[in-house]
Amino acid sequence: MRTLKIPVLTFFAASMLFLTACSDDNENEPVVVPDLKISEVKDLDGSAESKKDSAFFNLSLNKEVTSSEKWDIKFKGTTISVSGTAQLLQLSNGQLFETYTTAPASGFDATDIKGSGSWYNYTATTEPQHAIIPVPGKIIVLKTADGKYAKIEMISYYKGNPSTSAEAFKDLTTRPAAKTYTFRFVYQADGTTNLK
Amino acid sequence: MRIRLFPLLSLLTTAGLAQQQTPRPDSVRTNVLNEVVVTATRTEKLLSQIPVPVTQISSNEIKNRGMVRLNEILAEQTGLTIVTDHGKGIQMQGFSPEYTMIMIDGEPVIGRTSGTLELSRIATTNIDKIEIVKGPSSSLYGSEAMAGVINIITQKQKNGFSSSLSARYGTNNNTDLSVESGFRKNKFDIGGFVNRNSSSGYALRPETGTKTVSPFEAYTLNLRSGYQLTPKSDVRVSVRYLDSEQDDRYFTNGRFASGKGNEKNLSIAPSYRVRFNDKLNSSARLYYSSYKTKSLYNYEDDHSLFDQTFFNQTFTRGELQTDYAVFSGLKVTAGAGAVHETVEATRYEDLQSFNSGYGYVQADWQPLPRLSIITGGRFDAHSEYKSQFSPKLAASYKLTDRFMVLASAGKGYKAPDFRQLYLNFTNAAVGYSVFGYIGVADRLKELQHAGLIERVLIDPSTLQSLDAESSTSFNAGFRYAPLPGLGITFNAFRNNIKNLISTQPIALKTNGLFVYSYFNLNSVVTQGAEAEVTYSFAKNFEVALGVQYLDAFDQAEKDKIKAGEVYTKDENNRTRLVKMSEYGGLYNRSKWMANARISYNDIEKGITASLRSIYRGKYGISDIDGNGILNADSEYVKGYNVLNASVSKSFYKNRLRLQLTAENLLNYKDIASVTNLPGRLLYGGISFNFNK
Repeated sequence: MRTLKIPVLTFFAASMLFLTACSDDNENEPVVVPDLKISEVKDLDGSAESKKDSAFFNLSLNKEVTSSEKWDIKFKGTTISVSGTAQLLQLSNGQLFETYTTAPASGFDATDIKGSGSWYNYTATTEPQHAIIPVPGKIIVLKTADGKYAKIEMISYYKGNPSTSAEAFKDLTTRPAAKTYTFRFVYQADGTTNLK
Repeated sequence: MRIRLFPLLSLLTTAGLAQQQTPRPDSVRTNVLNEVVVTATRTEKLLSQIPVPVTQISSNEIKNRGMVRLNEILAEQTGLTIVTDHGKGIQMQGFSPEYTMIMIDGEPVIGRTSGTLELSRIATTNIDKIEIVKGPSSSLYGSEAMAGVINIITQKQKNGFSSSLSARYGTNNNTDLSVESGFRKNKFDIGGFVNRNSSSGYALRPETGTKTVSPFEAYTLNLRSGYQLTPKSDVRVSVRYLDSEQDDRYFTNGRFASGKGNEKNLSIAPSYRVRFNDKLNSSARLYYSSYKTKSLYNYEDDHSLFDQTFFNQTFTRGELQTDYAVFSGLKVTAGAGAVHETVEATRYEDLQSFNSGYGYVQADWQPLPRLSIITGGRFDAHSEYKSQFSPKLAASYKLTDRFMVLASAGKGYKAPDFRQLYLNFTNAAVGYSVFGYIGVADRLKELQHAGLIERVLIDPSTLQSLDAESSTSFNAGFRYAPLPGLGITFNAFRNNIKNLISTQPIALKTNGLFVYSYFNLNSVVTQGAEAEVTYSFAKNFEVALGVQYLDAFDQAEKDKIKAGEVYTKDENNRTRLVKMSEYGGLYNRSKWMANARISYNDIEKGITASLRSIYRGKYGISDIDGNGILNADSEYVKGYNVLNASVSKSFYKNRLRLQLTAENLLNYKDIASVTNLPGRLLYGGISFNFNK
């Protein structure tokens, strides 16, 4: 037994070296104090028959409008349309909605933002089943019809902005009403690309 | 992310304090080091000299636990877990089921669905032992043997006449009946069995009107025979046939559809073996196997067709192997073979076939009495994808008579499978399409002509040819028997896997859904360690404990998190960054798995009893926040423990045996996430032997 100790210990030491050779953590998130106001719109209802399943919103007025009024963004089911132009961007390099500061110079167009994998994921048969969940890190940068820039983060497709991991959300019979949008946005009224 | 080995160490220390015992012949594993293993080197070699991680499961162990199908046995082994994806398959060293080769007497079992070979297809009747080799074995067995190999060795016929009957019945009308018979006299032997296995299935959600596992009825027939032509040569043939039928019922678009699914697997394996002299022997083996499935489902309301499918696969192989003892201490094994494979299926275009050829060589060298070195490699040439070379080097050294260290390094690979090459599938209900690498360009053109494509994302003409998935792996560990009756094994592993094939969108259809094809995309790592301690005490008792730690991750995902490219939602559904400490690695991998067993075996009284506990730690199952990686707590399935027990009593000199078996005694269920646990299963069994 005695003669064994050294080889056994050496072996364990070697095994541990072999196993511990891995990663470290980086958990630094930048803190930026925004200059512009972040507005949050809660439960914009796009589910009503009377509105033909659509909801229209004016960013400069920060309020819901009708289709005949001047609107910037329209929600119809999972399709987002704009009256001007827009683009869907994936945040990167540790940027967050708050720290995304400058709208791009180009890349805007008038096409609808739609389809699973665009601003949302459709979960199909994986839990929570048949849910529309905004993709984390995707933001919409908008150039309104009169040339003003804004950034938008979609937060929820369901009434009351429920937690998507809650049991009541997983259960289709108790899931809150769909086509009810919660989002936040920053509107730059001076016509520059500054969205800080 | 730091790995803790302390639990393993303390476990080993505790085991080391155990008292000395004298070995007993009836213990399951006492003489394990004198046993011969064939799978690790393709030659008979003492387990005590094998430099790669090997586990053996004896027929006694299988019978004492009252197990009748392969999945039941493998579920209780250290470092293995049953995972369900189009059937019950095995996860080994963090690899999905498609990376473990399953063989019967050295010939591969074919017929996988989405990479999974349904383990319950394989009856345990007639098994002598199961050998499990962990770590890449492509140097001997080629494609699929990337995680390891499980080889089922069937029984050799004893002299005279023997016959046995056995039956097991229990929960869900699960019925298993076997009749075995055999005869050997002088140079000739013949034997076989018939097995019938059936169940009325089960429903985890009965309110849906459909079953989680459908009712089925499966027959397995086996016939084998051998004849000694001369004192130095013999011929053998083995035939195995499976025919299984199940009654399926689906609920789709508000309607029920039902019908039958049928599965047939025929294997024929003739062989010829010559022992020229003490130093030289050769064998020639042929193997033919066909696997066929078909299904027909009609709507229940108007009897119109819902779905009709077929899948026909054949595998034909000829192989020659020669073993030559060059001098005492050096044995060389070399072999070569050719394979012809075909596949024809509803979801493929036409009959597809491909050919491959291979050669392998291995040197088994003992330069010093305590040192054993095995080195070798295999070259596979294929008609449809790049050729592969898979080398391996393994060595073991006996530090003392009771302590041996072993280490090995090798390459493994897995060829692109049929669906990755030939699939032509459009989901009629949902609307997406998946096309195999061969033919994707043509299929896409057809869709474009039909006006169904909105945008092409990747031009098929720019595609690189699909490469085999491959791994470079390292295993190191020890086998230690500090006391008679006490055995400890330890193995640490790391598998660097690259060119993993997965689907990626290649075009967007006008219906808003994608066309997918197969690409060499990911590189992943699986690493960890497993330890097993077995201790026999107080004459008839044995306890065993096994643990596996696993860390399986995708390096590209880690890099993205580090670069601040991966986001999730906070409790208010606002975007935030994912921290590295939240990264959960690959889906469906448990960081910890463990098993414990206590068994009692009294040969004189004919009583056996055992209680086994199998723990599977929490594992990732979904991507609820939709960021493509495993990070949130809600994305995991809770860890669980399954308790199995069996007790048996033999009468009339072991001729009659009565047995009770319980699986999942504590009735653990997780209806939403764990579909292969139907709750508590109770079985009663009886067997009778006529031996002359």
